[in-house]
Amino acid sequence: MSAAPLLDSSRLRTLDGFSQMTPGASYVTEPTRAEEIAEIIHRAARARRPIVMRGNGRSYGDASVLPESVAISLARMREVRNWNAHTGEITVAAGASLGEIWRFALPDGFWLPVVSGTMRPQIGGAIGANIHGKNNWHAGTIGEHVTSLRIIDATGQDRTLTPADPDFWAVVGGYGLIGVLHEVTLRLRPVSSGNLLVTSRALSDWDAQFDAFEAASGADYAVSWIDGFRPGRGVFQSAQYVPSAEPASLRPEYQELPDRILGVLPKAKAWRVLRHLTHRPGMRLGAAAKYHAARLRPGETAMMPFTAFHFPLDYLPDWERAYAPRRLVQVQAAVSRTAAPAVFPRLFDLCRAHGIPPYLVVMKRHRPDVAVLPYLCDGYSLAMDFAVSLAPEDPFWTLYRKLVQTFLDQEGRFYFAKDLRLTSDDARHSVGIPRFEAFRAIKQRWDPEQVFDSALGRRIGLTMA
Amino acid sequence: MVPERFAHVLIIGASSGIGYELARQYAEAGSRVAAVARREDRLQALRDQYPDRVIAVVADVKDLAFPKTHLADITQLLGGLDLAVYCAGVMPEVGPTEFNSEKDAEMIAVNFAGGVAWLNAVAERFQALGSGAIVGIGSVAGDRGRRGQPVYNASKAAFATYLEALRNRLSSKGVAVATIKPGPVATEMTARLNLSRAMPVDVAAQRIRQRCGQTGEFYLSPVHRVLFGILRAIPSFIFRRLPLP
Repeated sequence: MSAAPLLDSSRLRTLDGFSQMTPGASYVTEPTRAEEIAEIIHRAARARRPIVMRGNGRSYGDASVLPESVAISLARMREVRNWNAHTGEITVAAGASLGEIWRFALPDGFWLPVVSGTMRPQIGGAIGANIHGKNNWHAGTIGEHVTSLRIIDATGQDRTLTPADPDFWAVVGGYGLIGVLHEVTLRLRPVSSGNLLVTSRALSDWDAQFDAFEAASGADYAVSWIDGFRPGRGVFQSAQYVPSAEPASLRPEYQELPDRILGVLPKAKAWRVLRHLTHRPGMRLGAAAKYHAARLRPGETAMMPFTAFHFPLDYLPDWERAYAPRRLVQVQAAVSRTAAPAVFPRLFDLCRAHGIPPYLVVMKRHRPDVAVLPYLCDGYSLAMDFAVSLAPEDPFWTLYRKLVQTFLDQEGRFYFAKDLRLTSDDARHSVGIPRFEAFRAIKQRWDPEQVFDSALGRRIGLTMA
Repeated sequence: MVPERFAHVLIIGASSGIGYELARQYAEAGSRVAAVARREDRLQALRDQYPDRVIAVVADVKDLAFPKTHLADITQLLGGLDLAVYCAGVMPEVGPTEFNSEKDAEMIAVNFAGGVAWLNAVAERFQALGSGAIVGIGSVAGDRGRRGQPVYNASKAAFATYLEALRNRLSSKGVAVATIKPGPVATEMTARLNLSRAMPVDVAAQRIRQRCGQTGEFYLSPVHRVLFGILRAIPSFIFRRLPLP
């Protein structure tokens, strides 16, 4: 940590979520050692400033934002501290990104057991949001693969937690509100190849979607891209690990995403082109093209590198800017298997009634998660992307309330990492009041002075009595 | 109610005149406002009217160390800072043959040095963040050195030059800096002048708000823009022969 005073204006940075709708200025610190973290906690307490934990800022909303706070970023704590190439158990500083971890481990034949749609999150943030992937229904969330965590509490003490400790499950999915997670040990998955066998199928309605997921329960991964303009229609993808040994495909160079799209367009500039397509006719056309392309090649199986399958969001850097001057807002919620077939069409009916189609929709299969603050259940989730203006009265927010209510009426659960606007009441019902209160009790025990805080925590009532 | 574009506003010199009216209008529009003034009783009315939105900061702008030390506390209370407006100004009565260094020092301290101290602190923050809006209230009186108010003119001219320099430093860094040059406005400061065509203060504040977030120098009426454009162009050897006060 530099010698500058904690509240020096040179530390000020505007922190925002991925949606860029919740900015706030913080005094950003970048410690390099655990002792420095404890020092920052003490100095922040003396300056009467709350601390917000900041990873790579990939949460959509205000999970790592708190105006006028001291932010702790572990961007300079990202080294691998221990690696067992036989068991796949890795210990990393919590600032390491998912991308850095797979690049390190893949040559030895290991892959992250759970990944998000982008490899950019830091592992600490990924555990704070308890991320899930396209294998959630059998692999669970990232927290279920963690064997030990080190966390610095509000008093500056360094503590180790294992899954046997009930408080471990409040750090997992606890959005950085319990303490500073600075080291993670997790077990990676052995792989013999860096490729997946991906089968794509065009499906024409909701029944076919649910049938496809049920039929694919033995697959390693499954996801469906739903056409927001023709709900139910979409492209279902299932994927299997390649069982044979393909050592060349384990090299990071093999996995690097191409720099150019179709060999021509520089990837870094693609959002400028996409910008001209982010209107309704353009998005409608794109969704239809994706569907018909898959329909013309029924059941086609293709070999894809892990990165190409898992990290569609990294294919187009800064793609969220394609929505400018509007913003990308995502609503992700899960409902039970029994409720989903009725709820999903109703959501799209609401979108149509308001004349606000989602531009991109992803459907996934889930199992319940075991964190104190759960966001999944035995069922299905939809992640719906909308283009929303910065105007506080954008008509989307009227639709949003109805979408939220539709999920909550069916005991649906919301993913706070994607959220900007849920109220405390919504959040309590989403989580379930007993578990919500259980989290608050653990928070109170670990951090009675509310040292660790966030705009999300305040908004949904996880912090501040 | 649609929240104001500037959700967090700092008004320095908010106990009367343009500053008070700007603070009132921003609070009315839904902003959180930190109102800085020496006279606490004057701030009380604002705070009573908008208890959730107005933070009273009692400080003398002549305390040049105050802004650097306390700006971070103020932004914490506000929850952020998007706009800072320096309005503090004094114009003591100066006789046509009077040379009074005490009065002059007061004008330099309040109209200029205080503005530099406050806006330096704000500029440092906005520069680090790459965003924010700064507004300084200059005056048409700063456009020429005239017989009646040598140091009032000079203090406003100095402030305008400082603001121009801020603009040149910060405009490429995402920070907007505006200089406002009001003509006569009906306030306490001008009450003794019996101005017949003074602009009502609420109108002046509305026009200033339209310029907040813009970059440049602005008069509050097209007539002033033309008139003072001409006055500025008059060569000094002619200007001193004109029968202007």
